[in-house]
Amino acid sequence: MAVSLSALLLADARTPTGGYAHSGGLEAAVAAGLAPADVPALMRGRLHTVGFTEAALSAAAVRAAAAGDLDALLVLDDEAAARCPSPALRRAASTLGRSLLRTAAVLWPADPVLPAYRRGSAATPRPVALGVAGAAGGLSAVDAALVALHEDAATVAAAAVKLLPVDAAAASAWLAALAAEVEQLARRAALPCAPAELPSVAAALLDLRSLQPTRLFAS
Amino acid sequence: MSVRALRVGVGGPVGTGKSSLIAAVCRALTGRLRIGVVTNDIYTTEDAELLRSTGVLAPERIVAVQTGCCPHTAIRDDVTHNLEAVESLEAAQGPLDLVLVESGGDNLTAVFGPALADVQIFVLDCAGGDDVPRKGGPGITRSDLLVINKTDLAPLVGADVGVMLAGARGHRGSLPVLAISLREGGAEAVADWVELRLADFRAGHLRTFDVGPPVPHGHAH
Repeated sequence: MAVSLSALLLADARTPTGGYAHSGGLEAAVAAGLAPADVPALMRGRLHTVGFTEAALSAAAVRAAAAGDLDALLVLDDEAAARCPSPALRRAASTLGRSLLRTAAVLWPADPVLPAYRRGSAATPRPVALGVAGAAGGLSAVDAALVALHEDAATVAAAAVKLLPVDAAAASAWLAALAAEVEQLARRAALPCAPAELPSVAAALLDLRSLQPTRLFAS
Repeated sequence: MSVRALRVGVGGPVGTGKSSLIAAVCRALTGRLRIGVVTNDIYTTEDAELLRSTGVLAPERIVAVQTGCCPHTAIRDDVTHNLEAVESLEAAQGPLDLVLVESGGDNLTAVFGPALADVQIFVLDCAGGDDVPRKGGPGITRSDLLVINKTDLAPLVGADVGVMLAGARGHRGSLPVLAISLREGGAEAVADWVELRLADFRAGHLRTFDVGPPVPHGHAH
């Protein structure tokens, strides 16, 4: 699966998009007793549920943005909200989406859809924002889904290094071990379908735990 | 003429008095200026709660950003969350004259990037050791204002304020240093400095420097 430089930029934690302040629910899980050895299971759990759902939204948003269809993007905003019942996670997605769009607007200043979406979207949920940013950078739908899924897992892995006695190389190895699974999920998430038919696989425990305040991470 | 507020970063190691300085500066200026504060706590929102509890500002003028164990990242390498917080605060509470951004307590290399702060104050204290200014680091060498707080404690902890000032001035040339005790009204001098920078900012001749590593240079000359 060949990826573009734009995709690498969007997946690179050094590109300033605010992801470092989030743990993908790991902080709450650790507070509830999750052990270091169980972190990969949490990563896989996310990938097959909320990660997959959000990747599909990102892929759909790439297509809508590449077609210059702002109305379709705003429909995807609603679809994202419908798949995110937790107010805390909606707020986090909104903040992350705004942060991502802010930086993407600097990276790809000539793109016309990105500023229009920033003006027109009230919520800017991150999955849709990633699609808009991805289209501005010329990503394919499957590239955007791949970035979405990789970053979902990488967020948890990076937070694990800070929260638990975990070797950073071991955390990267968790990601490497998931590579084939992530690529397969990305291809499935990128299959075209009508907005209302997009995947809506949820993870109730993540939603519930997101309602408890965290100390170190914003989510 | 600038429409947005002047953004002042307040950084420095843990426990040197950043939150207390901000509370005191707000107290000194709140009658004349419309002020907002963004805190970057390492642990939850305690700095914001502390500041709210002083009653100096309306609670909605104070917002907290959580930085995922990375206070230095949040003020320099990736300021997006702080920028969002500052802009949201100005949009909701504005117009404001001044937004103070408090860094989570960090080490001597943690400084604000120019995308977030127009000017920055770095806060040390006498109790941290009088050799700290001599050690340098970008906060000490090139912050727009260096504050050495808790001078009242110097005799109690065996620190020499003169040594600290000399150490700081050795790095800073003509950049200002204030040795103060917040317990003894020292915030007034800092508040005066902030007001002068606000006047510069409004007049369009504030110079925003990138004070951080790796290579010293200014963005405006």
